[in-house]
Amino acid sequence: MYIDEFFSYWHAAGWTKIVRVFWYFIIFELMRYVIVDYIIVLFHFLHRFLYRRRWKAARAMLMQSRPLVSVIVPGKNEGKHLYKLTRSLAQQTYRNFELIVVDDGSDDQTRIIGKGLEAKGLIDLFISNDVRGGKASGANVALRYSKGEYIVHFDADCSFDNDAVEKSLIPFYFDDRIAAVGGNLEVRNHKESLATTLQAIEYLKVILVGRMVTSQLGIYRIISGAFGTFRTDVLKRLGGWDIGPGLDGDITVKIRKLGYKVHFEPTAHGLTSVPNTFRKLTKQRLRWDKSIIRFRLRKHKDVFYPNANFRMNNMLSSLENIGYNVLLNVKWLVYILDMMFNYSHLLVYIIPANVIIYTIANYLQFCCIMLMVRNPREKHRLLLYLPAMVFYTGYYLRVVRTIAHAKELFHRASYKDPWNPLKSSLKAKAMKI
Amino acid sequence: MMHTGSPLLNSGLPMGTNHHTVGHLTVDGCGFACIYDFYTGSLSALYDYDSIIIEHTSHKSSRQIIQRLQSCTDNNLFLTPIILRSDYPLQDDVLQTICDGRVDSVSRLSDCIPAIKIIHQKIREIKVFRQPAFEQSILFDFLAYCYTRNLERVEPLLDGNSSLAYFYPYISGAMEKTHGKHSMFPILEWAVQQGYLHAQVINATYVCSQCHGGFLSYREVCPSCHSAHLKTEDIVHHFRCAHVAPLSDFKTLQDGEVYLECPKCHHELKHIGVDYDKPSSMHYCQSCNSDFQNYLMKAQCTSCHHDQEVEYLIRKEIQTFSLTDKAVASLRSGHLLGDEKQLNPVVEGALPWDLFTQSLQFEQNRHSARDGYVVTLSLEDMKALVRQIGVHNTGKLYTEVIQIIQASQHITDIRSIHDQKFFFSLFRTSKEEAESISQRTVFLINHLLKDNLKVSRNMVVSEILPLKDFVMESRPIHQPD
Repeated sequence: MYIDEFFSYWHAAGWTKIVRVFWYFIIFELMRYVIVDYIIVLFHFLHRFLYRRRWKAARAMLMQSRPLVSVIVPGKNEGKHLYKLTRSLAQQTYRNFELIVVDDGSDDQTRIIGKGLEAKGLIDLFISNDVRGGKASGANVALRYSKGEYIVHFDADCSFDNDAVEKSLIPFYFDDRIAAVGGNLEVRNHKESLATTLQAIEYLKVILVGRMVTSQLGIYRIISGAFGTFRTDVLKRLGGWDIGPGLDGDITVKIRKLGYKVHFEPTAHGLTSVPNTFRKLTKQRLRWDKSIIRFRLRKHKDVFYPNANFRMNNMLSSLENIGYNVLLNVKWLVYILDMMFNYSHLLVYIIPANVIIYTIANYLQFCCIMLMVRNPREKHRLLLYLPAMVFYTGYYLRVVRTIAHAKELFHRASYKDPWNPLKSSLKAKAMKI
Repeated sequence: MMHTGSPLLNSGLPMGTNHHTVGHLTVDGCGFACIYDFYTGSLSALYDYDSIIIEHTSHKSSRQIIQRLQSCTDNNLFLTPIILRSDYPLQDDVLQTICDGRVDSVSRLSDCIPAIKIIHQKIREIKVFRQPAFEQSILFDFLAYCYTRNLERVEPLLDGNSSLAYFYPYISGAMEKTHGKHSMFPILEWAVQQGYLHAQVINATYVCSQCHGGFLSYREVCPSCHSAHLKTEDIVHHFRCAHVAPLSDFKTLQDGEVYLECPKCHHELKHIGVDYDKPSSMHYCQSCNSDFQNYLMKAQCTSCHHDQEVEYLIRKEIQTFSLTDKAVASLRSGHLLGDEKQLNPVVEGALPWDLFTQSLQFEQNRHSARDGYVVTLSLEDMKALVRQIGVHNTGKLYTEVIQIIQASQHITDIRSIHDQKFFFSLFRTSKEEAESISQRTVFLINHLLKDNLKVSRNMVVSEILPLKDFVMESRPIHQPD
């Protein structure tokens, strides 16, 4: 029987061989995504407990000063989401905010809907651009007309817990070196399809635990555009967002370069909709992964230069991103080739063993996630899909990432991405930015 | 031809010596009263003449005196033929329409005699009685005027001196006299509905929601402070760095020359479409410093000065009218053969107040032992709300509110509107249920107001009284012993 053979083989193989065959998993995956996660998450709880009075005081200071907050929502063809968004914001515990919605050249009913909501007082300022300028220009026009001390950048298709804005503001009063706070996003449509379910697990791993870990280590590198809070003075000093794609990561790096801290706040909670088919997901991920090459390796390569502006945590932040997304992808290919050439006769044992150990690792990691999420019972359903994550993250996402990196490295494909208007992409390409 | 007692003008007219005396003239058996167009004397002095001849000095004065004459229903003075004496043809279309002829000298008066006789013949064919309601009287007189003048089609004239901007013979003048308290539109609409007039739409216009005035001053105002002190500026999008700001942010002065430089990346913007574009524009209020893209359009009525948002203006169709056989029959019988209730419509679904209170009392007597409640709903600051939407839109609001109330009640319950308050019964209902229905109704009405009338707070206040208490309270007022 194969199963008996399988276990007999690995039993007889010994630790040396196991380490030799699964070196990739042991060195990179187990260390980074399981052991480090547990250590940092425990540290996070300890930190919260030890500083609980300071956090409380920060909240009291926020409520006492009650600064005006500008909630900005740039987007194209987002009219259908606007009413729900205004309802979600109307329930916020923090009430002193203005809502600015920018319609970036929509070709649907967004303008009519936005104007109507503005007339009803549900939107404070609705700006409609006749021609599309891209996400960055939409955010920048909102920034120009914002009056708040803080900017909360939302995506229109998101909804938020009623204390999300408040929770995202408290860190600014906890530490005045914090200039930007990333919110915690979960997947709203996780029951829609297999693609959305797998993304729901991925978001919990990458956003909830992953960002908590990087934030705790001081190397948090991307504040999601769907939910990010910024100090307005810092954003204005930077001139706002630059041309995307990847503008979320770009603005985070720019803030870090100024010497400010960026913070991930797991209790500031929102829900977002994710692509519901693998086709759409592939398109989205190709765009995201291309931006790593364009922004981290090209635009912000200066974080590696040992000059006057050098900061260790900025370098580590980019290194972590590049390392785990680009270099490990290459190493993963090396690992595959290593196995194919050196252990081709054993692949029948290696591949199932890989699936098993990655699945075990996923369950271990998910236990860590369950310690963090607010409503763990709702997440039980996801446990069934954890074995599929081996193929999702281990193969599907890696293949997509490899294609994206290759396209960007050799063809600068991000400049042709229709996500950005051609007029801006042509300029950016000409200026090599 | 004979004249008596007054000096003769060059035209040959025997005129009064001042602004309140009347000259007399008889031509071919027709008695003419001769007055200046600035005549301020008593109109009763003009009652017994076959026609009135007015010495025209100015268009304004002539219109005023004719409208004064045509507003006087005593002794049917409004139907008396009016001739203008003027050396020159009348330039004013309205003046030409409202008088029955013009002569340049008294010797030409005989030319007008056949027309005057026809008018008198028509007057004799009808019975002009005062109608029970003001609006009906106005309509009846309008029909009589059109009939006696043999107007086959009553056409409105564009007129800068009429508050509506359109002038209808007789009725426009009569309504001006009410200073906006009454409007001719419901009267004419009712006349068409009842079959007295046949209407044909020739145009449409927007009128004031308060007085139906047609002269409106439109302007864009700041949605925050309603100031018209605005400045508009293009927004510029710099492609290279995605910086977006108003044009003035990019303007830089160097060596006396203005050029565009991006404040973010400090690159010069040279070519529109290549370096930058202008995706939209923004307005800036110089009174309250707010920025906005969608200004508020307001219209101020030049007649009543009511300042309103254009969405509350009332669209009115401008129509030509012709008399129907039913109108002629009514004129000959002396009274209108219509349904009075529809001319002064009550809100659909609401009972008149007296009937409502009587019904409650009746119900109380029948079911005195049973539970029953009356809910009173009042809107805080109703005056401000009416000012916002205009009195002519208030009926629509009442109808909507009554519909919400009706949907909350049992089929046998009743409702009414009195003194800007809404009352509705909840017969055979427990107190808990009555409170629940009342709360739900208040919630729905608040929602209606917030969703449609830019009301940001809850305005509806409710009060629940047991049926017997309500009947006791309302009895002394409406059923005095």
